[in-house]
This record gives sequence, C-alpha cells and structure tokens, in this order.
Amino acid sequence: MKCDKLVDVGRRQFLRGGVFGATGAAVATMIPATPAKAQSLARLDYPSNRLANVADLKANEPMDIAYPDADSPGVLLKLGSPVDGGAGPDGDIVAFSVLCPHKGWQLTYHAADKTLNCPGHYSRFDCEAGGQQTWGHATQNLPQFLLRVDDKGDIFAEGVDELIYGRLSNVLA
Amino acid sequence: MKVKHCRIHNRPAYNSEVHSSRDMGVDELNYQYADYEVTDTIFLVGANPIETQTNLFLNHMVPGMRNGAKVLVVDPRRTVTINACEEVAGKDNVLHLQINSGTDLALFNALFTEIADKGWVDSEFIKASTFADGVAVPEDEAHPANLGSYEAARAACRMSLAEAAEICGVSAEDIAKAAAWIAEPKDGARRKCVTAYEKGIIWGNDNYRTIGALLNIALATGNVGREGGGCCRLGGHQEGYYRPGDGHVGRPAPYFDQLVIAGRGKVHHNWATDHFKTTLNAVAFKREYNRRTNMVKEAMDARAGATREEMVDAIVAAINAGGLFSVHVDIIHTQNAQAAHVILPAVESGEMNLTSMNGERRLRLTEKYMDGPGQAMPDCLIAARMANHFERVLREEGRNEYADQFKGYDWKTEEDAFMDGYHQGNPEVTYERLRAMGNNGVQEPVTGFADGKLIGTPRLYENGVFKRHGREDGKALFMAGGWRGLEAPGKAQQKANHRFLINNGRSNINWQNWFLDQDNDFVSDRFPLPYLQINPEDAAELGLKNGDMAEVYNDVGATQAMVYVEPTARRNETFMLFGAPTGTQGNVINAGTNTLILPNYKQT
Repeated sequence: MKCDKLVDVGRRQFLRGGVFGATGAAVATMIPATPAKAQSLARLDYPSNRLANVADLKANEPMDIAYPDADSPGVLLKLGSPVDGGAGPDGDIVAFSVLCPHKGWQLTYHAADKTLNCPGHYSRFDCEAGGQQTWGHATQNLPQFLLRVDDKGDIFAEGVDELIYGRLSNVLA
Repeated sequence: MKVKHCRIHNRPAYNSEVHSSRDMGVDELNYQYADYEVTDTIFLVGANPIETQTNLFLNHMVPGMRNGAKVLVVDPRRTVTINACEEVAGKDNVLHLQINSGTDLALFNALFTEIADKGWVDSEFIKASTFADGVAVPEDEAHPANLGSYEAARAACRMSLAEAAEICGVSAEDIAKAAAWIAEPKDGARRKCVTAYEKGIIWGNDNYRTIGALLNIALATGNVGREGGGCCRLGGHQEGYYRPGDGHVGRPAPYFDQLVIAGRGKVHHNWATDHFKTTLNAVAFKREYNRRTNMVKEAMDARAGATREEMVDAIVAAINAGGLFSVHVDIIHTQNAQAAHVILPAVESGEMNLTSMNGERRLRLTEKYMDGPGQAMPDCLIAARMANHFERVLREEGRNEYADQFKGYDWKTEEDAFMDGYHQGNPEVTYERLRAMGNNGVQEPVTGFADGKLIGTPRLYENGVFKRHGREDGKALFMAGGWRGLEAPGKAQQKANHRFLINNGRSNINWQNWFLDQDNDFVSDRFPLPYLQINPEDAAELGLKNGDMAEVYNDVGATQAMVYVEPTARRNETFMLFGAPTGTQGNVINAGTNTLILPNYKQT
C-alpha cells in the first residue's frame, strides 16, 4: 500500500476544514448567483471590506491592503496558480497580514518562492500553504485574511484565521 | 547512594561531554555573551545558534557582526545560521568551511600548525599561563591523548594545510584564510576571536581530542579569559550546577546501555529522560528494555490479587530471573516510561521554584506561579521522600549505619533543598538574594554580597590562572592529540558500506526531544515526522518528493522520516532531526562510542 501521503495529515488544519475550499469551489463551480460567504473562525464580528477587484491584480505582484482596519497592514496576492484556500476564478487569490507574528516586524514579499520574509529575525511564511511558517520564531502561522469574490470580481475580506500580531482581539472595539 | 551504574540524558554513561576542556584546565563556559559584541572574529564549530541558541544569536552575535566581526563557520551542512550571518555581515565577511563530516580534528590541527608557524601566537600568555615542560598528563585509558606544553602539542598535532585540505575536503587557501581570520594581528594588535562549539563536535568524531584541538587554538592565541575571547560550548540547559563528586563512577565510566542490554542491573530509575527517543543503538536498547520490564509485568499480572508481600516476592523473583523493575519520574508519559512499573509525576519550571543557569553561567531563580497537577512534586522533594523511606525501612531492618546515609532529608520545599545543596558550597547565595537579582540573576561563581547585591563573575580566567583540572600551578595544558580518522568502532565501516550520511541535529521549532511538542498542534502540524533533508538529485534518483515518508535503514536498525528536498544539501549527505517521537534517529546509530564512552551520533 502506498502510504507516502500520510504526512499530509499534518498540513494546516483549516485547509481540510472546508471554509476556504468552500469559497473557492463555490466561485469556480456554482458560478455566481449566490456566492458562498466565508465564515470567520473566531467568534468575532468581522467587517466585510472591499479590497480590490480581480482585474486590479497582476500575477505574483503584491498589493498593499489593510484589514480589518487601517492599523493592520496586509498584502493581497494573485499567486498565478491555484492553491488550497485560494479565492477568485483561478483559485489563486490570497491575502495575509504582513505583521510578523513573532515580534511584529513588517514582512516583505519574495516573489521567487512566494514567501513573506521578516527582516527582523529571518522568519519566513509560505503564501501557497496558508501562511505556514516555513522557518522562524513565531508560535503561530501567519494570519490569513478570508476572502470572498462576488460576481463582479470584487474581492472582499471577511475574516482572519489567526491572531494578528500585537492584538488581544483581531477586531478592535 | 553512590550508584556507579548511571547515565545522563544524551549519553550512555555518567561523564562529562567536555572532558578534555576540563582536563586542560578550562571550564567549558568561560566567557560572557557580551564578548560576541566586541570581538573581531566569531568562530562557530558544529553549532547552529540561530536555531538552537536563538537569543544568543540575535542579541549578541548579530550586534557583534554589526560591529564588524567576521564569522567563520565549520559545519558539513550549510545551516540557516550561515545564511543569516551572510545577511548581517555580508558574504565577504563569512567563511564557511564545509568539511567532510567528522574531520574537524584534522582541520583544527592544521589551523593550530598554521597559526604557530606564522607566529600569530600570544607568547606572553603561553609563557605566563600554560604548562611549559613537555608532557604533564600522559595518555592512558582515562586520558585519550597526552596533555602538556604548547611545544609538545605543536609537535603532536602537526598537520599541513595540504594534508588537511585532502582529509577535510576544503581548499588549503580557505584553511589559511581561516587561520588569518582567527589569529593574524589586526592593526598591529592581537586579534580577538571568540570560539563557540556544540553538538557537531561534542557528539561527533573523537570528542576528546577534537575539543582539545579547538581549545589549543584559543589558548595559543590568548583568547581565553580576555575581552572578545572565550572558547565555550553553546549548550547550557540547566544542567546540575551543584552536585556531589563522581569519583565513585570511575573513568572511563561504565557503558550503562550495554549493561542493560546484557541483562545486568535489577532496578532502573529514570528521572526526566526518554532514552527510547534519544539514545544510540536505540533498537537494541528498546528491545531489551521492553523484554526485561515485561518479565516483571507478567509476573505482577500473574499475581493479581496477591498480598503486598506476595507481590514483592513475585517482582523479586522476576528480577532475579533477568527482569528489570522500572521507575520513572517525569512531567509527561514518555516513550521509555511506557515500560515503567512505577511512575512518579514531577512538576516543572513555573510549578516550583527553580534555580538554573545559562551558557554564560547566569544563575537565576524562576519562581513558582502555579500549582502542579495532582500529586506531582518537585524532583528534589520526590528524592527526599524516597530518602525518608530508605531511612525508615533500613532502621526497621536494624541496618542503622546504612540508614544514617539517608538522614537529614527533611526537606519541605525546593528552598530547603537549595540551602542543603548549592548554598553549602556558595554561602552567599540564598533564594532571597537571587529574588532581588531578578531576571538578570548573577553570573557564577558568586564572590560576594555588597550593597544588597550578589557579586558575580562576568568572565572566567581574567587572571590567567587555570584550575579546572585541579592543578596547583594554575597552568593550562595543551592537547597533544594527532588526527586518527573516525575513532568510534564501526563508524568507518558504516561509511564504507552505506551511500548516505545521516547527519542529524535540531531544528528551531522543536524543543529538545519534542516532549511538549507532541501536544502542540502548531509544531506537530509543521513536522508530524522528523524531516530528512536531501539533495534534489538524490531525491529524484530515489523517486522521493517533498513530504514523502521515507524509511531510513542500515546495518543496525531502521527509522522513518519526512522527505525535505533541500538544494543546499550535498550529494549523499542527508540531515535528519534528532529526538523525534515519530522517528527515532538513534535507531540507525551503532553502539560504538568514542573514548570515554562519549557517543558519536553524527558520523552515521
């Protein structure tokens, strides 16, 4: 029996939880009458903020955004190839906080391997694997913003899957 | 109790990991971390500090590089530390000597020879602080090389750049450059060089001579006890900083694992270690440990419902028939403890008051802030309660002299244990005074108390007097130990018989033997299995992809790992994580040890 995929069991939990997958799948297959809404994983009232339109994005070029408020910088990316949890017609649109969950340094995007890198202490996060820490000092993965794409191609952020650096709650009162 | 047959968590005997440094007169933790910030050259050997000493790297080594220090790294693997050093210091200021695994001794002897031949030595220091006249300690079973003068060492260690280049697989030019970075006078003054080493050589080939050869360089260049100097191991994980003498154990110490495997011993107490995950020759150790402890379990099962006395008789009979009675003291249920008959739950830092020190001998008191679970107790109090029972039982049996050995363990708190132990040897130090020193603590040895503060020692040997070896003259000794190939039995044969090197070590995300990582989703998600870094072409040849599960096997055993294709890995040289619960690297490490029963986990 071929069992060399067993280690996939360890990949990030939410990727098999269906929240992200549902968004991508809905857009890709059910086409757009009632686009599925992403659910937030924390019991928080997340705002639904329009970040951009699909047409604004160029493959593998990061767009600066902020979510859920102006003090939480992030990046919106069209990766160019579909990933688990990717939104949009090509299943390749993702968004992340750019505050390193270790000490809050601002991450920079490295297009060659699609990672976000910390200039402070060398941590790296994989944008193709839900912000998984490739290597580093943080004790959590990079917060990913949950996206919804409507029938006009507008991209909305509607949730965050991990705690944003420096916050006790992702949505501030 | 003066039990002779005992061992330490990561080695199969009760011994030092740095015998030679101590025999040469130099304690292995002799600098202060601030020395990295004011040095000219940081010399890292078999160490990967950004992953395994992160605070030291980020808070002291990085500032040192920003102040202009060059970095010299000896490692068969291109580590993330090297990458980070290049980012900080610039590639021109980082030299990676990517030697063949296990050839450090040849390299160090060549560096020593080159530095001596160039005259880049500190003659005044050598004259004032080191032994001058030939051999001071001749080679014998307890000292695997002659120890003596600078000149004696120079003769015994002589190794040309060309010879070393051939053995080590690096260029003679790079070795010469390394020697210059360590010792060539800078701006007309002695160059400052701080040396740090860790498991790459501690758990590598010919531990005794290799560590001594590295210390030779530091001594010859006057880089011990000086600002910006030091020659230290990086580890400093709260090992016993106060303990009774170990003279009863002898040297070489008994090879504990082999005694267990051979059916010797009747009762095994294991305090806070998991040999099943971390020992060498682990397949054989586990097999015999399970077989022998099962003999006792089966005997106990067969007497279910018996009286206490009958049960004891059944256990003793099983032990006398070759069984092993196993007692484990730990904060988690370890793999080794799954074979136990008795488990005594312990508490950990935070659940008790704990004094510990770091790699610059900084002693601190971490105070209790929560209760431990259930009946768990601090180790010292578990030991004290055992002693109380020994005393009681022995008195009941009329063995009063033996019972007297267990008098005085009336400890009620961790502080009682501290006052009976550490305080006896260091009368200035009390819990109250350590509490007042806060998170910065005090650097050992403590020399006094004034103005409400303990007075510590930031750097050892500033007076140039070396006494770690116990010599009255206070002179440090040099190591006269030549290169002799892969020294531990079986290593050379393994190298000849198998294609892949299974180098091994630690990662940033995993702590020690992963004992708490197992219940940490963030960590176990990242690495459900130990990873095995492998060159992309090797992986392609074997049909392996990232994330595949691979079986790793050789003549002594087999284990499993997760494939991690790594472009910087050299052909036929893999790197596997050590200590993982889901793939025991020790399964493929043979029983052969270096002299003095020091394990060689590396050249596998």
